[in-house]
Amino acid sequence: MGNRGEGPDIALLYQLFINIRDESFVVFSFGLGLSWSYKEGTQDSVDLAVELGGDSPGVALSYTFQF
Amino acid sequence: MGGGPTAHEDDPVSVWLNPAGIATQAAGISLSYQTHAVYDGDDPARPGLNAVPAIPSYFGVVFEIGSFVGGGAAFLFGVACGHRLAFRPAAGGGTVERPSLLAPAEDRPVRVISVDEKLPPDRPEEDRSERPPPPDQILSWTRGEARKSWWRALEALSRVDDRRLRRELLRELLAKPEEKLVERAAALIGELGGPEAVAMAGQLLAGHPSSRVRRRAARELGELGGSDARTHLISAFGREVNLRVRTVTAVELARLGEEFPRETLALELSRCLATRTGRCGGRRSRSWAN
Repeated sequence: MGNRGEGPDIALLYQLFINIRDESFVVFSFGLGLSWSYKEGTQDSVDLAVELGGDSPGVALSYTFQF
Repeated sequence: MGGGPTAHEDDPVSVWLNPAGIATQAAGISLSYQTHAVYDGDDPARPGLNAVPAIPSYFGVVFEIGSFVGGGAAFLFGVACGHRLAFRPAAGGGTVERPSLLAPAEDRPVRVISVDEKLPPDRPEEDRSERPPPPDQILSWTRGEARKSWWRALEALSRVDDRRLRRELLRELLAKPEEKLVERAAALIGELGGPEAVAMAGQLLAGHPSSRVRRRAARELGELGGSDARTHLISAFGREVNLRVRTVTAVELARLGEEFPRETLALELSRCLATRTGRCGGRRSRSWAN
């Protein structure tokens, strides 16, 4: 991310600052998937995943529909 | 991104994760919602959805456009997650607005905005007005097995005024098998001062297995000064096998006003560099160290 040599380099201008709860994390991830099929040969599925132990818990939900 | 944590890529999510696989995808629709860690100023991280929660993290559709090649085309729709990150103001400056990465390089000026909040400094200033924990408590921390307690003792050490207790705590902490802790404790040796401080630093410089600790000890000896510190440094310079420690030792000797031929120093250091491992030979330099 250059600034064409005018003024100080952007890397010197700011730092990313985040307030983390610890230096290291042990993250547990687990999920559940449910899939069902149709006579036409297609299938749908729902997936749920959860992450625990990180800086914040995380959840993901996904739905897939084939046609 | 979309669907990553659900760990399945045999659907339109893989269009996002791996566009090279589009042609092999089964026609379908995929919709994903997922949280991400939001860092907002000094607040601890919290899970958050998109800035507009109803908008999914990922939505993709794959459909075939012709069976003659068995290929497909994909339409994908992605929304950037609503991260909020705090940027520490640069020294003498303000917060900086990050220009859009989508803009051409020449249209991305760095715009400095006025400082609108004071973020905490890199390292909080020590509050010496706060009373330290009782001596027995601190000593029990240093003598325990829990590493977190050692760090608590180190933190309390800076608030202890009793010189004997400080010396005792330092001695205990310097003997711990944790490199970073010992390095931080060694940095407090100079504040202790006196012959016992020189002895502590000299002992570390002479025999600690960590080169980082030895380097710190050399610096403390340079700060403490005196003939004993000089003796420790000279001895270490002739014996030290680590190039960086040896260099710091030479610098600290120079700081103490030690006069030594530059040619000798250059020769000693070049010998270290010339070895296959980059380590010094450990041979005493008779030309100068004696």
